[in-house]
Amino acid sequence: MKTYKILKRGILAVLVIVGMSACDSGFQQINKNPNSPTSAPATMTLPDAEHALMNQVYDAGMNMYVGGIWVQQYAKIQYTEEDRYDLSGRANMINNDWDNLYRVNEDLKKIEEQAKTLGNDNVVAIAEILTVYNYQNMTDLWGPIPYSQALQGDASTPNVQPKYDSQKDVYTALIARIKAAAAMINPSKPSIGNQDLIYSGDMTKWKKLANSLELRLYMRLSNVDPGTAEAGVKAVLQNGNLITSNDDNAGFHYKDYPYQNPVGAWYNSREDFKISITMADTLKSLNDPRLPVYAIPVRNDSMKQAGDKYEGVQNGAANNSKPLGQVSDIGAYFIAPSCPGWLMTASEVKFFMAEAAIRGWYNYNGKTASQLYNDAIKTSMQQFTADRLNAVLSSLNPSVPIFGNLQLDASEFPTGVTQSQITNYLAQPSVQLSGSQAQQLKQLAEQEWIALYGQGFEAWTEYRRNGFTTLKPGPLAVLNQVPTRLTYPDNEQTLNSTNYQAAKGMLNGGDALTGTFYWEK
Amino acid sequence: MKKVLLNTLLVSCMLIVGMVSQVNAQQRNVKGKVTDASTGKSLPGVNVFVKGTTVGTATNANGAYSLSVPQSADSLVFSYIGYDAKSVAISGQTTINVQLSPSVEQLENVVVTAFGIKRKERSLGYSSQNVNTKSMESNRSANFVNNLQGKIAGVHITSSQGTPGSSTRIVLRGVSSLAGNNQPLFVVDGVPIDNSTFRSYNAYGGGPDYGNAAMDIDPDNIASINVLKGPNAAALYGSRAANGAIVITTKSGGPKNGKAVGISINSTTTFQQVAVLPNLQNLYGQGSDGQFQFVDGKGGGTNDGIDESWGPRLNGQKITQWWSNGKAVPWVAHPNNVKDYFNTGHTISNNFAISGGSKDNATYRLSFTNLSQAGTIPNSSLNRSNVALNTTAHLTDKLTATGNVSYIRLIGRNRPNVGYSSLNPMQQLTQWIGRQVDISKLRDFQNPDGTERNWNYNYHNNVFWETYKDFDKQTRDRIIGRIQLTYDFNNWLNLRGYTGTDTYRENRSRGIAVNDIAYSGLGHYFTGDYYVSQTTSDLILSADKDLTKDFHVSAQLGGESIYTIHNQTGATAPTLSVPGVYNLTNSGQPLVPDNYYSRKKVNSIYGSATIGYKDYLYLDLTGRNDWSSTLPQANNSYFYPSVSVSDVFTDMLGIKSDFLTFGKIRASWTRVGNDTNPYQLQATYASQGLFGSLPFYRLSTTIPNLNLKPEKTTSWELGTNLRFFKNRMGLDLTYYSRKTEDQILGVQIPGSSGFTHQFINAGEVDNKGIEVTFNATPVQSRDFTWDFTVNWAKNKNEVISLTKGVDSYQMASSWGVYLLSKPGEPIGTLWGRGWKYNSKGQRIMSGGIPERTSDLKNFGSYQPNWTGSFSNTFSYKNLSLSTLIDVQQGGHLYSVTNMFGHYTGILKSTLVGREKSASDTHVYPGVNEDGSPNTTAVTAEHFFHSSYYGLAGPNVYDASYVKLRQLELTYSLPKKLVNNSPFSRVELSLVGRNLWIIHKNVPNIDPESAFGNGNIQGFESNQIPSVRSFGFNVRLSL
Repeated sequence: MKTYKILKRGILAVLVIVGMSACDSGFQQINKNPNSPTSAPATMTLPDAEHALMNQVYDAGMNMYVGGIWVQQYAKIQYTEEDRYDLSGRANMINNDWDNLYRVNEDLKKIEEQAKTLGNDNVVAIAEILTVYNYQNMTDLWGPIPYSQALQGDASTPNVQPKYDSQKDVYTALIARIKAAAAMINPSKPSIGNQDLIYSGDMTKWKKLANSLELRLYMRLSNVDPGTAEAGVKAVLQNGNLITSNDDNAGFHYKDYPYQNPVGAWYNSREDFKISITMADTLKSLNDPRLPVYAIPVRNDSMKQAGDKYEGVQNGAANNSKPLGQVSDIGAYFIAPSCPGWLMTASEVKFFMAEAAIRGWYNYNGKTASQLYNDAIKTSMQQFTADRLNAVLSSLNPSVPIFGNLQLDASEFPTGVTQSQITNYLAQPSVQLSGSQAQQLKQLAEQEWIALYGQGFEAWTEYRRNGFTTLKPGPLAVLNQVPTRLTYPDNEQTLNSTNYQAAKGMLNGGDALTGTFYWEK
Repeated sequence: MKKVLLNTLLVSCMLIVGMVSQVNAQQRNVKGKVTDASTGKSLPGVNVFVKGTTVGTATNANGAYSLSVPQSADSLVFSYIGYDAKSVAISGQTTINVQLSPSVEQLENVVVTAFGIKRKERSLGYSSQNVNTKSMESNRSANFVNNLQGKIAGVHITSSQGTPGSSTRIVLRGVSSLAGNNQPLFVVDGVPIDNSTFRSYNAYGGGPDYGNAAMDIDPDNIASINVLKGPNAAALYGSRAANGAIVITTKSGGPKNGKAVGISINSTTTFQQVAVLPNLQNLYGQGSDGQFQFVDGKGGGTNDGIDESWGPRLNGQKITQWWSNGKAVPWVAHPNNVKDYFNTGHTISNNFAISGGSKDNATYRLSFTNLSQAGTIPNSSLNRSNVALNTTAHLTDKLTATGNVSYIRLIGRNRPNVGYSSLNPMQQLTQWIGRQVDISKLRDFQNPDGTERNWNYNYHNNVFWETYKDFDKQTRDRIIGRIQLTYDFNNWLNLRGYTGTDTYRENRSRGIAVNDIAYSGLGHYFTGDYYVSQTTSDLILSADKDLTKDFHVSAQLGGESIYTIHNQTGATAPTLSVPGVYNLTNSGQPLVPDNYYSRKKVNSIYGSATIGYKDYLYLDLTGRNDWSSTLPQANNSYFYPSVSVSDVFTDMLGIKSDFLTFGKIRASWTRVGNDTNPYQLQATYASQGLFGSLPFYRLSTTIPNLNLKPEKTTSWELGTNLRFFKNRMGLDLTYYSRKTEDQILGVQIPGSSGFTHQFINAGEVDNKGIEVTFNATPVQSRDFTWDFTVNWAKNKNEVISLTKGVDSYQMASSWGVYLLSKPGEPIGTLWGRGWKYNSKGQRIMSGGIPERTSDLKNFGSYQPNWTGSFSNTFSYKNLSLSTLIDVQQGGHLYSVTNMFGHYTGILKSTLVGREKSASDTHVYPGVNEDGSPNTTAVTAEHFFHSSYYGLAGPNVYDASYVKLRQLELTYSLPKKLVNNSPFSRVELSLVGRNLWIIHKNVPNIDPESAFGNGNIQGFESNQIPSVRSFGFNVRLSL
């Protein structure tokens, strides 16, 4: 029996030790993540969302690869695949654009939820305005997008495979949403302070942005639904309180390196984006004083001596169709670290006012179409006065090591557009608004395209709406027209296939770069 | 080279000293004959030894022997394969005739299973395979896991990059976990050790491959390796062994060969050469459209910013080049320019071990190994030292203490990044380079002002700049140790308690020089410490008793606690203020910190029982319950059982035949649970750093899951071991089926949900397979023996289901190709777009170039159809030759090297269409949409630019291979000679590894190409060429 006593004792010992550790109530403490917090205030999450949003809109992807080079503001000099409309190597970029843009809206949703519980309507309104801005960009990029079922990933009954909504439905929803956001704003109530990197919490300005975005939404419908567009545009203009001064421009304020504009960041490592020959030659033919702002002088001395200081690159050509020294980089202002990322500017609003007048919908403040048109151009040029330029160019100090690669010559930096240059420019018959309504609309569209330089995505979108000219694809392009949309990300094929197939059916021409949109001509 | 010489000298000196210092003692002669006790036939080749010494001989063809024995000798030992050994006292006799009895028992392998329990192989109801560790000592690889290649059926081992000490991936019986770890558990002397890589590779690549942590195991110190293949075998190790276990026992002390102190020396020197390089063209140099002229190397001249090879034909015409200071110089080919970059590497490995003590009170073994390797990539190296001490002390009659400790120090230097990275020289050498570039001219990589001299200033570094100016250093200090106390209550019951730890601190530092093309030429420095500690403590009560004459019971009851800590602290200096000073205080920008801490605890209770009946029928039962801190409280406890049966039917049925010598069947069933990583249950906000002075925070992009359940793997297997013709032939057959359910996955979800990943329990993955090991000795004579072993395994892997709302599990993507796991298909299929074909299989062309499909298509899985190996050993007298051929059939691979090699025109295959001149146009084969032949001629440059980039179709290849993995020629110095020296054994070997790729289907690269040891595989991107290795080995035992 002795052996069994020993056995019993042994088993007991093991059980006691194990028992003590097995029912460990400290497990939850052990599994508590010590590395990151479970909540964060809007003062830290809102500026991050603003930054993420603008980085996406201004990054190589939307601003340059698909927007800017397709609308021929920029051209690529090497690895010209996107400029030849061959996106087979950019699957990852499209996946990331999609994920990041939705991600921003999820973040904004969370900020809204938090602000609602804290009773801060102004922060709710800011988040809503940015959400609408973002969704409009997304539907303008892809067409039908998940909207009504989007952002339900962490709902109590999560939906991780949202269906797509038609572009029409998205637009209808966005218009209602931006109106509600504008109505929610009360400038006398608390908002958020300097952590808002767009307007520093100035709700009067946020209200102007909301109204201006509403104008943009309605104007986009000018071709497909002129009735709604006219009524909407008229109401917004009558109501006023829009961005009409460059002081009120909505932009994300980047800072000095390394907190810089993504275009500048791109230039830190490579300079394969140049000004397009289409843009450069248009500016030259119009004697546009913005040319020295939009482009950097060529480095080739003999060209300079011949007075040929600015030279664009042919879109969609072979690699290195011209030696690098003989073409112009994108202007120093645009690659400067602190160049703001614009959501919307006064000149765009004024082009819409002029367009409404040409179309005979409404004369803002009783002004004529010509007056409004001239005012829009003037406002665009005034963005580049000496003061405004220098404030940004100071962040691009050629002696800072990171800018060494650019081989910048500060003495060649633009000196700013003067009042007399503006007056002379507007006096030119080639600039003055004239001809039939259709001709005037084309002229206005071309001026808007010039004014939107640096906002590649918006410029391409407006081109698709009002096509001032038929841009010619480059010699090696794989399509015979400029792309009118971006294909859906591959992830939607692999992860959301049923809804993806349904969305393809909603598009005229399937999931191609040439599919036409609801609001297109 | 100096080191090699020194090494050789040292060994030679020892040999000579040994020979001279022989001892003459008084001798006498004993002779006799050895016969079979049952048949009376004489037995040739029986070993006859003086007990406790190495003095001995073997019987001749007639079974006769004659031996000169020292006066002091008291008995002789007769041993022969298949017979019981016999010890006979000499007691003055001069003729000793002996009869030996055949034995089955003698053949039994003893294997070490869970908790260091030694069991007879015949009693195991599941498959386990012992690995011959001998060749591991002589023909060693810096990563010992490579030495397992081809040795075990059903084990798929893939080495990754050709850099020193890069990681090796090992998968037993197929991939079962979609997202989790599929590596088996490595256990050294009962202590589970860490095998993490501390970085995850995405499909594009990553930083340097710092190797998997199990590579620290010193092959010289291994006594045995037992591979427990399925979860069946590993039920008792807990969740960590759900993918099988590699159970390693290190050599222990004690008297050896009758000597109180044994000394052994093992020295290997091998040389490494690059084995596979792309087949490059030598007709056209850098440029585009047949044009090139160098001015500034970034577009200032004619196409001089271009890093592709569509330039002028290499005809010796005079063209200004990067090194010619504006002078036009001959434009000629340098066919060896890629090969010339590489060095011949070498590896020197020396082991010195001393062991001794007495079985009665204490034994010890102390071993020191140093491995020093210089890679084929210039300036890259690895140095590892292992010191190990194993001791056992009998404190009292009943109390025994065991202590094992090993200290490992590893220093790896200047290993390049892997994958598509400008810090991987392969990005240039095998993709983006002008074919005319003379590598030797690049060796002078720096201008007097500190800037780079290079052939291109747009996108690339001078490869030698990267090699010599940038640096990377990995330093690891590691302790693996265990102390154990065993108390024997009596001869059948004992209590053991042990605690073991694997703890290491690793520093990784990387500096990028100022003026490097990366980081805008401003320099860069990162340094980070990684701390890993895993402590396992057990208390086990073991009983082992014959209940009756026929029934034997062995049982264990135990408890275990595992506590794991990971801590990571580092910082990056984004730029450097003063060139060449790699210190965080020299940062030109605010430092970017990196800090992460995690801990995890698992407590367990387990029990097992083996009931044996008459030594031929065995029943095994195990049960274990784990509590894991990583799971929600409601689900954190999970139980898993196993049952197995083994029946030696030849004994049970009393079969005694010369044909079927031994036969056993086995069956087992088991379930194993698995937990997850820490902190997956709650959403957190992650810092995005500072924007100026403003902190940015963002919600994590993964939806956490508060209701996670443990993963569940259920498996069963059936097998048989058969031996024929008195063990001249053996067959081991296993069929297994394994199902993993409720997998804990961080699945990628559509971004439109607001998140990109979600933690779920999902799906079911099945693995079914057959493993066959066949070995035979076709020839066995006194002087010549031929043994061979064939291993063959086929695993069928299928994702049965995922979960609602998840169409496919997306593991990775690269250049438009996706690695997916979808229901109905194996894990890891490559999806992408390809060329468009019509119903007749003709390629459809448009504008002279292939059209692409618009929807994604499946181009195959990375998992092989089957793997196999064929190893042979030929022994003639003291000479033995062993070879190992390793085969993989099937499996697919997306080759980025081939993709860009076509795009840039450096591959020989891009000469099609420009055989005569760069401006030629060519009609590439294909048809128009309507089926008529393509008639549009395009330039080769246009065709290859537009036909490969971003497509899976033309870039996915069959990864099959046949390789001569090992070759080894060993000469053991004859006993006669050795007997006159202080050595008990002297062996000299010529060794070779990866000598020859006998067959492969993918051009330009080695089909064996892993990215680290994770689940993202099937992508080859800028592979660092694999190496062939050859050299010699000297082993001495004193």
